[in-house]
Amino acid sequence: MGSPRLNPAASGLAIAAIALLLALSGLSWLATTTGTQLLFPELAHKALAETEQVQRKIDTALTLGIPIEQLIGIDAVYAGLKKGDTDIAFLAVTDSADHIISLQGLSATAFHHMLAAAEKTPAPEGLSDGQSLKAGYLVTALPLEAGSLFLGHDEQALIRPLVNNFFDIAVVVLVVMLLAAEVMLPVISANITSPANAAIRVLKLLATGRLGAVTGQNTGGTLGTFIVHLDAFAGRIAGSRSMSLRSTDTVLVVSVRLLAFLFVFAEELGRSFLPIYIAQHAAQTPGLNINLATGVLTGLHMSCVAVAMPFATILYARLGRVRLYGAGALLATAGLVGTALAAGYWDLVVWRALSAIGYAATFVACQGFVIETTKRDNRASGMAMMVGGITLADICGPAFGGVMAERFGQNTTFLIGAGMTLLACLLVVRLMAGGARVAEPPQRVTLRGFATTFRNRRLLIQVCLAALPAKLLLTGFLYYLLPVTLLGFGWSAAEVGRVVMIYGLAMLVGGPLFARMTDRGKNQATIVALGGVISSVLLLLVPFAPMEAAFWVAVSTVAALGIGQSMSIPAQVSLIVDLATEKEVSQGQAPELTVLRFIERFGGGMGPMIAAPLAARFGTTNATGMLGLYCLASAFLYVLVVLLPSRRRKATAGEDA
Amino acid sequence: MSSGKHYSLIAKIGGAMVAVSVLALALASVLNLLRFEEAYQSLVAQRLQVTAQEIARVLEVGLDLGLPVDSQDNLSGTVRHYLITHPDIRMIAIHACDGRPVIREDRSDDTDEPWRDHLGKASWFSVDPDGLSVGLGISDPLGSCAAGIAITQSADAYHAAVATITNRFLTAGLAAALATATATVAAAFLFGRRRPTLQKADEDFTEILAGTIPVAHFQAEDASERWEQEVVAAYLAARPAIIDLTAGRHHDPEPH
Repeated sequence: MGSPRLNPAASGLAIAAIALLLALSGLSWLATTTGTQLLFPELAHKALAETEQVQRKIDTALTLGIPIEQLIGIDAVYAGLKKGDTDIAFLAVTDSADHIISLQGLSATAFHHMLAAAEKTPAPEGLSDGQSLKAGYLVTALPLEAGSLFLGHDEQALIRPLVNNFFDIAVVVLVVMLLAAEVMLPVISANITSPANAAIRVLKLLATGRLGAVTGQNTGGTLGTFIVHLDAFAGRIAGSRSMSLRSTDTVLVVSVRLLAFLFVFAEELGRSFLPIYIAQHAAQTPGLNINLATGVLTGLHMSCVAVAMPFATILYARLGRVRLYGAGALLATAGLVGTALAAGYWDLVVWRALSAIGYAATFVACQGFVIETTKRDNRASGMAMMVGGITLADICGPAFGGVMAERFGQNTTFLIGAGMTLLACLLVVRLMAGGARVAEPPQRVTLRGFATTFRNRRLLIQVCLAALPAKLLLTGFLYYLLPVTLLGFGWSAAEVGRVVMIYGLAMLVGGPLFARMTDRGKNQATIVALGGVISSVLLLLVPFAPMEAAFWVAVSTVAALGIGQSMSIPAQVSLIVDLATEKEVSQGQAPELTVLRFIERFGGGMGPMIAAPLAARFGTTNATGMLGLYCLASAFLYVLVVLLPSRRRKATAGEDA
Repeated sequence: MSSGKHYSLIAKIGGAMVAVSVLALALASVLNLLRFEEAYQSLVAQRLQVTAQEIARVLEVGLDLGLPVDSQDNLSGTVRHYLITHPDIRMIAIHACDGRPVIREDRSDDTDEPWRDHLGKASWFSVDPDGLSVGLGISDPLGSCAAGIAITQSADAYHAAVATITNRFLTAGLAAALATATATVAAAFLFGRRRPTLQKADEDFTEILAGTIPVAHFQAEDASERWEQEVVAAYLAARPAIIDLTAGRHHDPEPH
């Protein structure tokens, strides 16, 4: 004992992951080398054609008697060439004595350095006379009537698209690995963790002189054999004393992770390009204001989810979790297939609404599943399982969807989403089956809940100055303005998806960290205010940022949004728990929490509806700044209304004491 | 029974891991292949655009002088010249705004008119089994449509390059999938291997049930995984009670 040993499970997974990464690295290396080899002759052809075009233009001028040193407009020729071919790095014209007449894209020193550099050997196939590879450039040199012409192409240009592909592949690998982990978790739970825990429970009962229930587990391997013997022993003892033992039917709450992951992932696949997809349909429908129609439909999904959830909760009691999830998944499948095949805007409205109703039903079924299969002491961890699945889907969905949309088309991406919900529909019978501990549907939003919430002034301030602005910012900026702005700049859906993914990553890392900080510090209101400021302050700079800085601006604003919201969300929940009228809040069952979630979802739907007209009137970057300003103002108002009076009260109490 | 179930667990875990690995490799290969096709098409399109722009310039000089496309007699010679100096180009055509070909020089007997699907566009690119084509729309000095230019390059070289890279990806992908699957199955066996400490506990249990009371030569800390340690620890804690119950020395246990 004592010496560190390798954990077989971890070692096994590590071996599989390393093998996969090695194989993918090999494939990527092959793609780069083979791709370069096959593409190079085409690059050389293109370079020669472009150089000949410039040669003909200059020679025409020289033939007309214009001296080479008096040639003008070469910079315009270079700009025109560069516009059509971004791989071009420089253009140089020299006279017969090799003096530079015009040099574009390179300094004179760099040009002379390049001319003096040795040619790359062996020369790759496909080079024509006058072409060489030097100092990282494919140089095409052609003679002029009086002088020489040099056109340089970046040698890396060939590798660039293949290198960009690494990001796409990295996203695919990340998603596939996470999906594998999500699939493995229930398999390992069902076959190892759950039977082991059941065996431990029975053994602990035996140790205290009580005869435990037969575990009823059904697993293989050494553990399975041990459990069979344990069961036989308990059965024999019970039989000899004419006692009956009840067989436990274990339902694995961990299954909810995969089910939550699948339905959220399916919906998130379209996140990076949905506004543009809607705008394309709106443009084909006469009489519509495209911006407004796009904003309304982007937000409609969240609003429909908010409205459908109370009805789904009523249906839960009648249908039960499996049938409700199955029905929801089928509706979502139909909605996503319809979204992919929609012929016009009004079609799309119907299909998006159907998809939202399906989303609401599956969400409620998952919530109910957690409530029914957990007890008070493990309900929070059950809910954390569900939230974990949703967070992973939030991270992977937009990035993976962006890659799929760029490569296979937006319609196909929605069909892939439909495939995922259909898979969820098939899996639910296996993953959610089993006897419920108690039949207990999730609490639904009621008028009494609204009355309770709105009677509480402090709660109302939380909702209006913290919760609603945060949700508006999330949906208005991240779901609408960001994709519209970046796609408008010419970014691909895959690139937008990778930026949107940063929000989920920030939430994943920041959420638990800031939740612990909130619990320790007991200064929730300060953290809510700070989160509000962090998430919105950078957005004020967006209207003034140059287009060249778009990447860093997008990354930093989305990261700040994620960090800010991962700070404020747990603190908000903690504050509402303190302000709630019932003590059931730890199970997510207080009317205040239910109402808060409803208002958040409904408010979330308003985000794109507000952002779209603003973007149409003032431009997307200005609209982003305005949304940031609204949230920053809300945060400052929150400080004035909540934080400062609370500090003053504490100070007065201190003086009185 | 237990052996069958044991292998079934390994099969489940191994199967899931292999499926996931193959999916990742297949997707990566397809993405690489599509990116290659895109890069190749982009290079060809840029090159053909250069030629199209040169012909367009000649045509625009005539338009600026007030000569409609049908009346520019020099165009045929220009088009033929470009076809001769660019052996990779298969067809160059100048067409009217309604799609009617005005001049067409073609090395083959093909009569396809790829510009028909792109009338009215400023520039376009298309790939079909026979060729890669680019086109430009030409406007008169008043900005109205005057004509269009279409250039087609044979797709043979393109298809050959795609076939080469596809074959290499298929071969490498299969090899990679096989290697990954082998490693993954080995990993699954490692994952699902028998637990020696728990096995000792089970043998000890069986002996107790058979009426003998062996000395326990194992401890929870010997186990390699936490769950196994916890089961063995719980068993060792319950062992005296099990021995008593087996020997009938215990009070009647209470049902739970």
